[in-house]
Order: sequence, then C-alpha cells, then structure tokens
Amino acid sequence: MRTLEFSSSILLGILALPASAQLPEPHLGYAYPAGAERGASARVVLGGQHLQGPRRVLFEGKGLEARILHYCKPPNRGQLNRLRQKIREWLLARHPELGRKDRRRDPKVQAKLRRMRANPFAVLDEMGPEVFKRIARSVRLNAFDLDDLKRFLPKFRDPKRQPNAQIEETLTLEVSVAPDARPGLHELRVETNRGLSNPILFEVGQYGESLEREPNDERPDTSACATLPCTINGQILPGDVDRFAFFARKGTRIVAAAQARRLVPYLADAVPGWFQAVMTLYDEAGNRIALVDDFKFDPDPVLSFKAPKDGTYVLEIRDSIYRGREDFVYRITIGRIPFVTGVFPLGGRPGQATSVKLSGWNLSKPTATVVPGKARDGRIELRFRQGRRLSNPIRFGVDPLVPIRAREPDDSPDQARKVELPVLIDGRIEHPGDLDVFRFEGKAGEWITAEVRARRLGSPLDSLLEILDARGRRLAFNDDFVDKGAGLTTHHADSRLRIRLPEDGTYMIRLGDAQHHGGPDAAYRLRIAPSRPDFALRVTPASLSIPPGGFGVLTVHALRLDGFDGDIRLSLLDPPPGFRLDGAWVPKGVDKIELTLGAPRKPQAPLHSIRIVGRAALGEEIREHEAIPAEDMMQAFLYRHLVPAEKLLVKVPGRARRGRTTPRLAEPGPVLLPLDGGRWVRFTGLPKANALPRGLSFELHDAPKGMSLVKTEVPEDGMLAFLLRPDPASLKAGTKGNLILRIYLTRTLNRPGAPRRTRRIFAGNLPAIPFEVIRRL
Amino acid sequence: MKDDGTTMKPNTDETLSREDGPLPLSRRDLLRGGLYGSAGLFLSGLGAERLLGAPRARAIAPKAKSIIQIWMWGGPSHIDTFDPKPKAGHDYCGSLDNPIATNVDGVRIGELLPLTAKHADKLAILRSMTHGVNGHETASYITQTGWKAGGRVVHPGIGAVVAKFKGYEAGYEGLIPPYIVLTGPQGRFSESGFLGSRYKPFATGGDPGRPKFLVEGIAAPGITLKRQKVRRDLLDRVNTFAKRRRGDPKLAEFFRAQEQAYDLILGDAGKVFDLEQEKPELRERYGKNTFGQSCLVARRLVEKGVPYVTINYRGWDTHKQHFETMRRKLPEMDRGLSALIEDLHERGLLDSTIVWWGGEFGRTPKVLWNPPWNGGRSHFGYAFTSVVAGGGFEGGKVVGATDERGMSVVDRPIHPRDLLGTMYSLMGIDPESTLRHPQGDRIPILPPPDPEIPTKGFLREIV
Repeated sequence: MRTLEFSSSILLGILALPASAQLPEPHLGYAYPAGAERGASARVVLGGQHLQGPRRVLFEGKGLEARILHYCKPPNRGQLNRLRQKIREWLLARHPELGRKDRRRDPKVQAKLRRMRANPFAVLDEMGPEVFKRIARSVRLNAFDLDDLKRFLPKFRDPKRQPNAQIEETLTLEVSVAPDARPGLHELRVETNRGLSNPILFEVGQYGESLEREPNDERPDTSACATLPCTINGQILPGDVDRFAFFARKGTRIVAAAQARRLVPYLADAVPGWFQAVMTLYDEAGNRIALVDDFKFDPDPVLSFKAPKDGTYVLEIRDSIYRGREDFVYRITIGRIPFVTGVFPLGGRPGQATSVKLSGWNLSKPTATVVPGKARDGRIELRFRQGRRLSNPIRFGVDPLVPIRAREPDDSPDQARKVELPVLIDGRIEHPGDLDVFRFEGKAGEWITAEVRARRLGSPLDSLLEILDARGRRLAFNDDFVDKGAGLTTHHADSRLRIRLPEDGTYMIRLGDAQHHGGPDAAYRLRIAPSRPDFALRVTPASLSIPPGGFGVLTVHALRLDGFDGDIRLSLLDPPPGFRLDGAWVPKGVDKIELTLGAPRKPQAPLHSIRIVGRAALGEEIREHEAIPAEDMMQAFLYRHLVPAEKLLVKVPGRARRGRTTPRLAEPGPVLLPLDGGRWVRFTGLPKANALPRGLSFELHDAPKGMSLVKTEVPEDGMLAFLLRPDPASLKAGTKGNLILRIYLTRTLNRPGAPRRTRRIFAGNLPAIPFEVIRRL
Repeated sequence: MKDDGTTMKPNTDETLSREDGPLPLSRRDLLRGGLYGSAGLFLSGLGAERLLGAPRARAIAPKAKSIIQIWMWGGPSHIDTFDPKPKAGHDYCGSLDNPIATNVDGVRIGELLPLTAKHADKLAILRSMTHGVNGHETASYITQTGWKAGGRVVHPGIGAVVAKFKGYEAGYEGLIPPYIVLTGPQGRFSESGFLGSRYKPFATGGDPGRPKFLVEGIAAPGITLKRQKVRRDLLDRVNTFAKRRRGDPKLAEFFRAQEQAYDLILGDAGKVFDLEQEKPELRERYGKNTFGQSCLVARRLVEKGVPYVTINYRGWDTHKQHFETMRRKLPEMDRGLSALIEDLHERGLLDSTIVWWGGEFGRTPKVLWNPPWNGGRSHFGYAFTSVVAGGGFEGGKVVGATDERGMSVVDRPIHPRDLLGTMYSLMGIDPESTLRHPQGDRIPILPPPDPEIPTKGFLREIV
C-alpha cells in the first residue's frame, strides 16, 4: 500500500475529466425584454456570468426558438484601465499635437480636445471597429466590440452603478414565438461549451409589445403604449423612473398589471430580495389618481381604474427605494384586459368538472368550468378564456376528496356544522371578524391533521386555526405553517396543525383571519383528516453539468409531514442509459442530503431530463413521490427558498476519451464508520496508479462536523482508499448521511519574474459514500 | 457611577435643566457656529464652556489613557486574518490556506499579515468572540455597547462612554475633542445613544492619505492660513454688533468659544492633523493610503492625550469576490496596523494605549462560490475574532478557540460585554458605573451577563 503524497506523481485523468468540468457553470440573471408576443419575434438580451461559448437557448414548452446573435463580456477594472491606456496611445499616435506640451495652449488643440471630450463616440467612430477589435484583443478582451463599448460607456461613467459580475456578461438573441405558443411563463436556459445555465423566466404575451425608451423619467414615453392593450417592457436602473402616457376613454375600466418579482423571484444580494415595483397613475393635469406597491399580498402591483373622462393618463413605475440595475426588469400590461382577482371555490377534484365563480375586472363571463389535469404539489395554474383573450393566471387546488361548502352562520360552536372526517371544506371568511366553526367526532388517541390552503392558492386570507374540545378549551392553535415547498411564498400565511385527541368526544375547529380582514375573495380550503405520515421531495439544482463518466452533486430536500421520520430510498425514474445515483437515500431523521448523479462515459445525447423518485415504508404501505426539481434561491443575503422548476436537465458534454471504468465503492453502502478510530473506505474502477496526476488531493465536501478524511492511499492499481474518522466529541453513533469526496489538482504557476504560486483546481467528485456512524466495528 | 455612589463620580451636571442640558448640536456645529458668525450667538448661555471643559472625574487606577479602535466596518473574516483554519479545506479557506508563523511560538495567523506577525508578542488575539447577531446595525450596537439591540433605551457606545468619563467633565483640557473618528462616522450606529449629540465623535472628514489632510471644520479647502487670518480680521472689523455689545456676558462666552475654535485651526492644536510634520520614512512605514495615514493620525492624537480615537476602516463587508478584496486590503491593513503597534511601542505609548482591532462580526467560514457571490463570505456573529494590544493587555496571548472550521466557539466564549468591561477597567472606568438617562433613569454602562452565552466574564487572564 502506498500513501499518496499529494505533490508527487499520481494518476492522470482519474475520472477522465475534460478541462471544462473544472470551470464555473453558466449563470443567468435576467432576460430583457422578459417576454414577447405570440406570433412575433423580439431581440432579447440575457444577462449573466460565465456565458462564453454559447451554443443554444433552450425553452420549456413548444413554440419558442432563439438564435444567438452576439456575446459580450465587458472588461474588468484592470482591463478597462489597460484599454483606456491603449486608446489613448492610439489617439496620440493619430493626433500627435495632443501630446505635445508646447501646443497645449494652442486654441486649435484645445478646441479639438473639447470636441473629443464632448463626443467620445466620434473618437470611437474615427477608430473604427477593426482597430478597436485589435486594441481590445491586446488586453485580452475577446468578446467586447466597439458597439459594446458605446453601449457600456454611459454605465462606466454612472457613479450610481455598482459592479455586479453575476449579470455583467450579455447574450443577445433573436427570439421567435409561434402563434400557437402557450401564453404565460416559460423556463429559458442557455447551453454553453461549459455547461447548462440555471433556468430563468420568459413570458409569451397576448398583446402588442414595446420597449421603454429613455429618457422617460420626466416626460412620459408616448409611443410605448400608443394602442391599448399593450405590454411594455422596461428596465429600472439606479434612481430610474419610467413614465408612459396612454389614452383612455371615459368609463373604460383600465387595468395595469405589472410583473417584476414574478419574472425574477429572488435577488440574493438586494433587500428585500426583489425589485419592489411601485406604480403611480396621474391624470392629464398631473394629479395623482392612484399609487400601488402590491396586489393583495403579491409584491407585483396591479392597478385598476375607471377613466373619469376621455384623456391622456400617465403611468409611472419605479423601485420603492429608487434602487435599480439591469436585472430590475418589468412587464406592464395595460388596457381593458380581463383580470381575475378571485375564484371560488379554490379547487376541485382531479379529472372532475368543477363550476367556479370568478371575480375581477373586464370579465365577460363570471363563471367557468374547470377540469383539473395533472397537479403538482396539489395545485395547477389556470387562465380563463374571456372572449378572444385569456385572463391572468390563477392558482387552483386539486384534491381527490369530495369537497363540501361552508354555510353561514357558522361563527360559534352552537352554529358549527358537523362534518365527517376526512373532509375538505370550501369556504370564505366573508367579513372582518367572521369565524367559521366545524364540529367533528373523534376518538381518544387518534391523530388529526387540519390544514388550510388559502394563501398558497392566491387567497388574501391570513388564516388562524384552532381546535377546541367540547367545553370550548383550546387544544391546539396555529397561525402560520412554513411550507418549505412553497418556494415563492415569503409569508407562510396558511395554518396547519396536528393533534392527538385526548378523549372520545366532540371537537371544534375554528378558522379566522389573523389580520381581521375578510371579504368575498378571502376563500379557503380546509382539510381535516386523520393524520397520514407522508413526505414530499425537492431536488436542487434544476440544471446540472456533469463530465462524461463523472459525478455531479444534487441535493434532495425531504419535506416530512405528520410525524414521518423514516428512511426514504431514492432512485432514478426511467433513467437515460448509463446514469446512476450514489448515496440514494434520505436517512431517518434527515431533511436534506447531498448525493451524486453519475453520468455515462459515452452518453447518447448531450442533454438529459432526469427524474428522481423517493419511496418510503409507512406501516404496511410503500409510498412513492417524485422529487420536484427546484432552484435553491437566496433572498436578501439570508433567506433561502426552493423555487420549483419544470425539469431537472443535465448536460453531459462530449464523450470520455480516457479509461474504461468509472469509480465505484468497493462494498455496498452504507459504510459503517466506528467512533473508535474510523475506517478505510475503498473505491474501485480507477485508472492505474502510474497514471495519476501530480498534485492530486481529496477533500470532504460539507461533511458533518467531526467527520474527517485522515489519509488517502493507493492500495493497488485501479483502487483508492480513504481513511474516514468520526470524532466521538462531535458525532454520535447512529448518525447517517452521505460523504462526498471532492478531487482537486494543485498546479504550480511559474511565470518569469513573478513569485511562484500554486493554484488549486476543482476537478470533480467521487461517488457519494453513504455512511452510518457506529460505536465500534 | 454606582447607584450607591460609592465609586466614581464622573459627572456633575447629569441633572441639568432643559436650558443647560445636552446640546442638540455636534462639536462640528459648535466650531462652525463659533467661526462663521451669528449662528454662534445662539450658543451663548447654553453651556458652551461645559463642552470645552468639564469637571475632573475620579478614576479607578487606570492603566490606559487612550483607546485606538480600528473598526473593521462590515465585519472582517476571522478565518483569513487571526483565526486561520488551514485544515478546513478549500470550501472554507479558498486560496488563503497557508497561515504563517508569528514571533510567538505556536501562534499562526493569516498569510497576508506578515508584518503584524512580527508583533504578535504585543497582541492578545481573542478568537472566541460571539454574540450571535448577523445584522450590521444590531451587531455594531452589541459589539460597541455590550447591549442587545431592540430595548427601550439606546445605549451609548464605548467611545461616548469614554468621552463622558475621560473627557472635559473629567478634566480633559485639550482643544481636540476627546472622541475622534477618522474619517467618517459609522453611520449605521448611534455612537452616543441616550447621551446625545454632545458625546458624538468629532468626525474629521477629509483623507489623511492625500498629500494635505484637510479636516472638515478645521481647514477650508483651497484657503491658506494667511487668508483665513485675513478673513477673521475682516470679520472682526465688520462685526459692529459684537463691538456694541462688548460687555454682554453671553457674547463673551461665545467669543471665547470662537477663539478656541480659531486656535484649533490656526494655533498649535490643529497641527495634530498635519502629517507633514512626520518624517517621510515613517509615513511610508504606515502606508501612504487612507488607512495607514489614519493610523498615524491616531497615534498623534493619543500622543496629545485624546482618550478615544476610532479609525472607521471601510470595505470589509465582502459578500462578493472576497478573496480578491482580501488580497488587496489585507496587505494595506497589515502595514498600517503593524506600523501603529511598532510606533506606539517605540515611543513608549503602547503601555498607555489600547489598540482594539475588530468589526461587528466575522464572516461565514464557508465560502459562497456561486454567482452572485463568486467566492464571497456572509455575516457571521456566532464566532469571530477581535485583537487587542497595549494599555495593560498582555501580549503574545491567544484567548479562546473556535472549532476546526471556525463555525462555533469551543473554548472560552467572549461576549462583547466582557471585552468592553475589560477595556473600561483598564481605562479606569468602573464597568459597573451607571449613567443618567435624560428621562431620569440610571442606566448601567454595561448589561448584566447574558445567560445564553456562558462566558467567564471580563478578560482577567490577559490584563
């Protein structure tokens, strides 16, 4: 057995990783405009980072195509300084009199300098694109042309602008939308030579679209919505205010619905964590008619007004505290558009027709029939046809239980309606102070779960839920239940509680509004049923790049319900050939685990849709749920949200050239790691020892506190062994999880005249090692 | 002051009436008022003399006369400075995984602090600071007051407390205000709390890193001293109102304040800010940048007896591209800090001057590699490091420890209260003293120990 000396010669191409596997993955921050009309095409700019080598743009859903026109990577501070110096040198070579001290006071020279300062674009035009390209390349700016510089010059000069590397690079696209493309939001990803970007949102609209044109801070843009209805696309930069003028006839119900947070749900590096749009409406005389900064609980404002007279009105949009940057994008649809503000009931049964009442503005039909299709997380998104147009999207619950309707009066225990469990009740908190009370019979020791679905289905209700015994004593109470699966929710207003009934008898469930509001839109679905331990799964990220034969890291989040605490076994559902999961479990008591997805060495295609399913034994029953792909997004430096995505897409670029095997644990997991000294864990399927590269090292990634990698050895050709040791001071017997070993290569940089520096390069992962800590072997 | 009145009596005017109570004017306002004419008239009779001179307070055997607080605004990474964790791996250390030895056996610090490493024998490194607060404002508050934010009372920070106990009311007679901040106030933190604007620091403004350090309110940019004198003479000549009311006692008080203000500008006192009086080699040793030259000004200020100087050192809130920032800023900090310690030591001032380095919290040990952070560290109040030197603190010491990743304190938790109380004691201020709140309550300068953070109290082991 030979101990690995990390600086000595060890094997090369341990996982036959291509160089691109070590580079950061492409990241998208925004699309501007963030949508286009059906049957039209639009020039769209994507902002992001690590976008070099773009290959294609992928849309979720049919009818959308994009052609990549241009990639731009602006200079960093050092490059900008060097570029400035080079341009100066070129300028002095062309106009030598500008550099001569004896001619500084010459009026002609001074006039020339003044002209140049006043119009730097003329200097750039004089230079021409070819000369600029040569100069740019000399400072290693390979994706920055003269037009880019002209576009960026105002930004470089703006003192309010802060550098944001995550959205500095841009891709310009020509997006074509087919006439039959589904209206609404579609996920958009970019595939590059390096990998696959995260998904961002792009909307297919129903109305004529326009782009805002600056300057429009003071004088409104009159062309953007010359004809109603229309959708205006804009971008708010620091301190920016955008104004648009439109004409409305007396008596017309005009709706202006903004989308901002909906397009870019969370900003990690801004407070409150999204572009908080504020819309203000002015009449012709400049009087403020309305100001809105939200719609019910939704941060995106919606404004509705009946035009008091024929005239031109001005709509203004800005950030609530005048922040701004390129990813503060918005879309405002203005006009006599059908807009649904509420629906009742809030849900229906799968495959069954449900008649619903609609409330809102400009609705030609106040009722509709809904037949819910395949639901995800107990809900679907609906748009209601109103004449030739579709309404705004509405969330609609789907539950197999036959619902009953709440009936007023039911405010007190005396008036409580008796229900049989399990039951699903559709009701409303009809006015401030309204309470809805239901009565049911229960048995001692029985576990009951009561859950409100209201806010998660678009209702403004902020529920309060309590269970009382027959004497009116409160047994359980809940205001807010944090549903970690509701990734776009920041106020978890729905209630949920679980209780073990203390005795046989009658119990009361009382529901109200925490904010003492109420009204026809304050609808709810209350489900009361015997508790049924269960789980849901989320898997992040929604995009992943794995080198052929390599291993990518996925995180599975288990959302455990009603006391379920057991193991969840994971597997791939209809996997493409050659993919495999290692560490495919969520052990008992664990809510979040990292595991690895192994990619085939010679994949049949570059892109693959991966589905993961979890199975758990719940008593006699085996329950199965598919993991919903999600992005783990940060809000305002702190909070994290699992925002659902349509698919988990995996890119495997190319085919492995070296080696024939992929690493595998020598023994099936979970590996038992004793507290009294640890244990060697071996991998097989590795290249021969003499092929290992110099400076190879391994590190545990996100291991639990107290778990350490003590030693690495090559016991024989094709094998690697790792001594893993749990620290009894930090870890207890019974701790379970996965360990992931990351591979690093250390390279020494020897530049003439520069001090010798070493650089560590991330080179991939080994398959996850499922483990359990035990006292001793 | 203790409630029973048995210890020190720092203030004699705590029960001032509204007429002569704390002024809603900063010291700069006073200077401007004194200088620039009739606005200053309104100061007369409002206790201006009390601002510029106060009764001497009793002190309990002070070891230190001054504190230089190097406020690492934004929260410096503990892992990359004084609490390195080279074994934690790449996800924690990034490219800074090679700590260096110091001149104290067994003590290693961040690789970008080689100059400071040569003075570790003068430093006490407090590696187990903790308060668990991750917001800038609230963490700045608890770090400098000892109190958790959010209570009914807004407590004064240590600088204001020192100014109260060691300033004019305790016999400090210098023209330079007793609490100076170089160069801008902290902004997110009310330094003086309920003590009011009277105890706010005098923020110098300007930039000591420039060839000429122009202190706002003391030097007018673009105007020579000669021209300022000419202007004063002209003002005297045209000020007929003052001539007519020459005998007015209120105006006399105002003119005295005005003369003192002019002395600060045109006399010797203001020369403390004139860095041209220092040898170029020394200025170079500190580093010819804002921070380095601020350290030099701080040394000059404590040399003149100023009891509390804050260097508000911005740029440590490294959410993004942390390692690039560390490679740019830590050498600058290393140079300034090491030069300050060395210079104070060589001049025999270190024994009487506490140098306190630290921010409101540390930074997350685990690096955020993905966009938008691109290798950044977030706020981390659960475990962080402060460093103290001089003024009675024993050097060459490391107090407390964090775990192998710098994530949690594993030995000798130090709450900000413990550090502040120790510094108060060294300054001769009883940590159990109380202050009179404007509404009449007596408020302790420090809170009682936090039961949630079981510390060993004040840092007796290093004083």
